[in-house]
Amino acid sequence: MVVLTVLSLAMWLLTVHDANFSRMGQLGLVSILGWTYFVGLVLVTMGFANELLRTPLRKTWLLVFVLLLALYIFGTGSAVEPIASLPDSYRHAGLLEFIFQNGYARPHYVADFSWPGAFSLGSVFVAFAGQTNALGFTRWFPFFIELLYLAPLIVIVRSIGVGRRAAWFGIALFYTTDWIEQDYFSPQALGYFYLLVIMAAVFATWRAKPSPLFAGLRKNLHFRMARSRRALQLSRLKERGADPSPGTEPTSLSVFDSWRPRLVSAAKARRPKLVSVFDSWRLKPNPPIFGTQVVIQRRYVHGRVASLFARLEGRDTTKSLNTVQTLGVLGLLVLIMFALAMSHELTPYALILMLAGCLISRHLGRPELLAVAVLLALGWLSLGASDYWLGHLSDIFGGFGQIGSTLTDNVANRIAGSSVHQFAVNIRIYIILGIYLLAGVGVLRRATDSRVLEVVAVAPFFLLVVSSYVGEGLLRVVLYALPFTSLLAASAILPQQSGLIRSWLPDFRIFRYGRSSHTVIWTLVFSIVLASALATTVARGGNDDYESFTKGELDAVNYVYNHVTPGATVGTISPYLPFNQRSVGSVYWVSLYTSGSPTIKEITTGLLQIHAQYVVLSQSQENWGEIVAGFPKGWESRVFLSLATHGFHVVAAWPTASVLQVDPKIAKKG
Amino acid sequence: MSGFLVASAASLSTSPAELIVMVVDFLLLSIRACSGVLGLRLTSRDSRILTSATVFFVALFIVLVVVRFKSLG
Repeated sequence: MVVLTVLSLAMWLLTVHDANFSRMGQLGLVSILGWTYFVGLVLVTMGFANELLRTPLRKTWLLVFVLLLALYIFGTGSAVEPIASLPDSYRHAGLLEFIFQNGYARPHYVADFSWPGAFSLGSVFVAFAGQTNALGFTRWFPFFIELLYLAPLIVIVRSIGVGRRAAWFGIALFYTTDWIEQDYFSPQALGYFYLLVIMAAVFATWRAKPSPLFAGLRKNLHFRMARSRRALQLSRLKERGADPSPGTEPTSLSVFDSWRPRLVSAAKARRPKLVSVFDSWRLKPNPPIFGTQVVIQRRYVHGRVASLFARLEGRDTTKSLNTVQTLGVLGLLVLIMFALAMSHELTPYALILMLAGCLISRHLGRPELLAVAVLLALGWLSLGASDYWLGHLSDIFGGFGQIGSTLTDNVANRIAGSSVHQFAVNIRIYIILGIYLLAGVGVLRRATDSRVLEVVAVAPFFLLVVSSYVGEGLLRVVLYALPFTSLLAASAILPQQSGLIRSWLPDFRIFRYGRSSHTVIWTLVFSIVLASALATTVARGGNDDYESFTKGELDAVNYVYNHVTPGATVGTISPYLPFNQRSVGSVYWVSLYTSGSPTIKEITTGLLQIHAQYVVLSQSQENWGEIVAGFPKGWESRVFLSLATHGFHVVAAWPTASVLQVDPKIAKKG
Repeated sequence: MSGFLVASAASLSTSPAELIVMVVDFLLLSIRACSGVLGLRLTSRDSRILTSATVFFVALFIVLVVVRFKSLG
């Protein structure tokens, strides 16, 4: 394992050393990764599969290989690209800089300032680090935050009731299928960390109490009722001293007697009033057969109702801490929820749905936590973010109930652009389909004491009923459910064998973990992890040709900031530029197009209409035009020529960017 | 943090009902959560009343928020 570790690390370092960012093609990051990347990934996957199926399990080595997987998938982009990718990283750095310099969030500016918690926290860290802005943190932030996710993930997988091997396999699948790239420098990345921490604390603190009411009630209800009716008649005969006929004692009598006292004691613990009614029914002499059936039905219904109330009040759980410790955990979780409610607009509602799922599946002993989550999320939206939604509530709830249009916004509208770009988009869809297919098999194969994993994996999808979230709702929801979906997918290969709820599929020996099936399961684990890691490498870096930037482009943007007059407008064709990281509110950047295929004339007219003092043309915008908008090669030079006829001239140039300024005399005439 | 304080102070004048109900909710939830530690020996009847009151005030808060959204959104 030491050899595999050292070799794979060496391969990664060679990959980073040899990768030439300037030669990136339409397929993005993977187009500049050499054979060393793929060999290294194979070595890491081999090491992980070996350790996963080893007896005894060596957690340290499993952790090492999971970290190496994270390094390959999330660290390669950060190491290869000269500066942080994604324009929103810079925009968030700019918002943070505003709070750092002014001490408050600017009102009536952008929606993000209505949820300033993450930016406020970031400004604290910037001050602590002795910096004046957060640009130094943006490049490696994705790798850093993904590593931060590992700790709560380990707590979740240990506490949620999957086997140890499935737990580690699930963690590996989480990292190898996380192409969604919401881990850039953003409030949602921090919000996701808060979400994982809260869920980890909930799962670690509370477990489902084995229910005596349902431990034996797995078969058909009518059969159970008939059996219970016969057993009740025989027990009454015994009470009166009459001998039942030999051979007429049902084998179920012991079953009935075994759970009837538990039913009584369970009902007594929960509903004292109910027990007296229950007792009065039970002691009625010689009830008719029909009456007996009604009594049994009523007992069953009341038992279920009592159980439901007990579940909703959190009394159907056991906790691993004492009362004072539990209160301490609750207090900390309330603080984290407060921070989350102030930091991101969507994650608190995903948390509410997942906590409700935990409560229903008997993994939340304190429903107060759910109530606090609702109060904080709605309270902040209503009171703290009113600046955002006053007059724009349709932006949040306009898509209520329109699941079809939500799916169209999130899926169909993204399959656009060149064939290479569409290939990367299709890979993303296949990854999601693949993981959910495996998760479905996992649901059928695993035995368990509680279906909390399934409930929590499905719960976030109810968010799609409310809003498409600007065409990103499905991505966010898949991300929220990803840890749990990964565990279910892991259970398809390494399912738990024991539990009150049996598996629904027969257990074939060839797929059962053991000496005889070692090779088959090793092959499956290796294939799935490697395939998903390769697919995520393609999918995750698929847009990097226009979403990652050069130092020249950053220098061009800084040139504009250093020379532009406050209040002026700066124009770009598309938003794929590292801008908005300074002077928030004093310089207005206007990007004309994020989609569509405008003509050169329309682009020129648009830039003239916004009365831009400067226009920035760049390599990343040109790549966007070729890959997404379908422009021919060299289209940006035609835009430049067109602008030149309208008074624009180059004031600064780099190999990958140029800054155009309009002639002041022509600007005045315009 | 300062952003939150400024925002909440500005909202206080426009929606005191929501703030008051929210405070009452937190009080009830705190009593329910800390009853054991505080030494409050709640009977089952007390517990049911407390739970019902908490549910009522949480529902009231949601209704107030929805009404505010409808009137101003």
